[in-house]
Amino acid sequence: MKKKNISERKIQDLLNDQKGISDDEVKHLKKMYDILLNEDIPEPPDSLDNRFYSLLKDSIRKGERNYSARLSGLFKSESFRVMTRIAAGIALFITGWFGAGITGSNQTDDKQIAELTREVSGLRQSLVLTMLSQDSPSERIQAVNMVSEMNEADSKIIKSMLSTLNNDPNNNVRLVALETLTLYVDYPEVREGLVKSISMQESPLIQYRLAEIMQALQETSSVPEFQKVLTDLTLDYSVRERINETIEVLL
Amino acid sequence: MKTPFENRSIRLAFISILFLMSCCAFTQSEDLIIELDKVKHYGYLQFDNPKGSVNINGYEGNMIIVTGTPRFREKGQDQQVSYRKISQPRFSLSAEVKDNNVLLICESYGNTIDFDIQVPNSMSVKIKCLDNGEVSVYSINGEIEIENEYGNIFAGNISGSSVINTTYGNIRVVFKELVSGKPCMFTSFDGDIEVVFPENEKASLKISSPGGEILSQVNLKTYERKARLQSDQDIKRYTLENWTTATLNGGGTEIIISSYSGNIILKHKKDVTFQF
Repeated sequence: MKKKNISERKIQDLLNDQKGISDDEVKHLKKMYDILLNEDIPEPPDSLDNRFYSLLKDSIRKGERNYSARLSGLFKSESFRVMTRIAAGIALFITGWFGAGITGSNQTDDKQIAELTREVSGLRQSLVLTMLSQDSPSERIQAVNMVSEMNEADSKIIKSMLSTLNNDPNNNVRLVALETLTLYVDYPEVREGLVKSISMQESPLIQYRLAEIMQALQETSSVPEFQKVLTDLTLDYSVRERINETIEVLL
Repeated sequence: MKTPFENRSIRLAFISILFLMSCCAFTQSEDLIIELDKVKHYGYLQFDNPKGSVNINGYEGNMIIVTGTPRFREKGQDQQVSYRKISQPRFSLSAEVKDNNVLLICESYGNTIDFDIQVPNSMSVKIKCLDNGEVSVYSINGEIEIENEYGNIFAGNISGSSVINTTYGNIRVVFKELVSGKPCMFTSFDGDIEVVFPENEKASLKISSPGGEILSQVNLKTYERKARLQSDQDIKRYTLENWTTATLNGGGTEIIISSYSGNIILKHKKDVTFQF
């Protein structure tokens, strides 16, 4: 009943504050309020509590199950595979990095050596070319000998050797150039150059060597050149014999 | 290999020729004296003798003295005709000098002229004898280049690198010492080649004379010939080197000796009776 008194007082206060409300309205409100107050509010039963707690427990259990499922799913999932791949990549990268730190110095050394040898061979070639244009025949012989020590010769060197064979003022230098060119007879331009140079040579020693070389190489294209040489009446007798022999073998 | 004298502008740098005519009634020899710049490094003397011998002697000095002598004396006066024969030069001789490099030019109009040349011993010489003569070079420390197709070549008491070739003549070289570094090469087609080494000198030799013999009095160590592989398209060719390679006292200055039918003779200086 205390409640009733409070509500009445509250209503009275409200009525005092709000002057514009009619008595009918107040009566209705009073009635309504009384109905609301007199209505019995039922007490919550124990079963409801039990139900709540069991639901709570269930949900907790469910949550735990989800976590473990998520963990196991993580290992199986596609994203995890991608991740492992990335990790492996990074691991590889790092081991490579450290590996390069330990063993990589040798590789760079090898590279440097290869570069150096390339540079040296380039220098050697230019040295040969400059030495071939020297005045001293001894230096030119040295240059030609350097070519014979090379493992391979490029077209520039071959060209300079052939021009030495044909144009050098000294017979000895020409002879050495011929001997060097015989090392490179598997190059077609060398063969061609040797055949062409047959009619240009005047030294018997070189003519003789050329006849020997052409016979050994079975170079039939040299025959017309040798026939040209044979028309020279001052040709040395033994050279003439040797050339005749070569032509006989080749034909 | 263009000599500096082939260039026209360098011809202007032509310095001086001192033509001393020391005509002698009997020898008819004439001298040409060329003075070199003492300060500069001596270059080379280049001389092509069209006909006749060339004899070069090295000495300590700074002048080149060229003496030319016609080999065959002029005939005596013809008694039947009352003319007196005035002897006239049988050859012309000139020298061009540039940077202590000397080019001797001789025109002998078919006469055989023998030349005797005194040069500073540190000079290099390039001598070519075209016909009817021998070439001899003594006591030269510079480089030597000699070509004499038909005659003998003799180089004595030399120490520089030498490149000598002949076709029908013999070659005889007596080394005073071997200067390492630059190779020497001697070739003859038909002639013998004799090389005399000082004792204890080191040399690496490459010798070839398919038609002749190699005769050695020196302690040569010969090596086996190496085989070489060449591939030509689908044919593989194995060839043995056609040089005999040898070393003297462990190897050193490279010496290439090549002949076709001549003998190659190697000696020590102590075994040679003729000394300088």
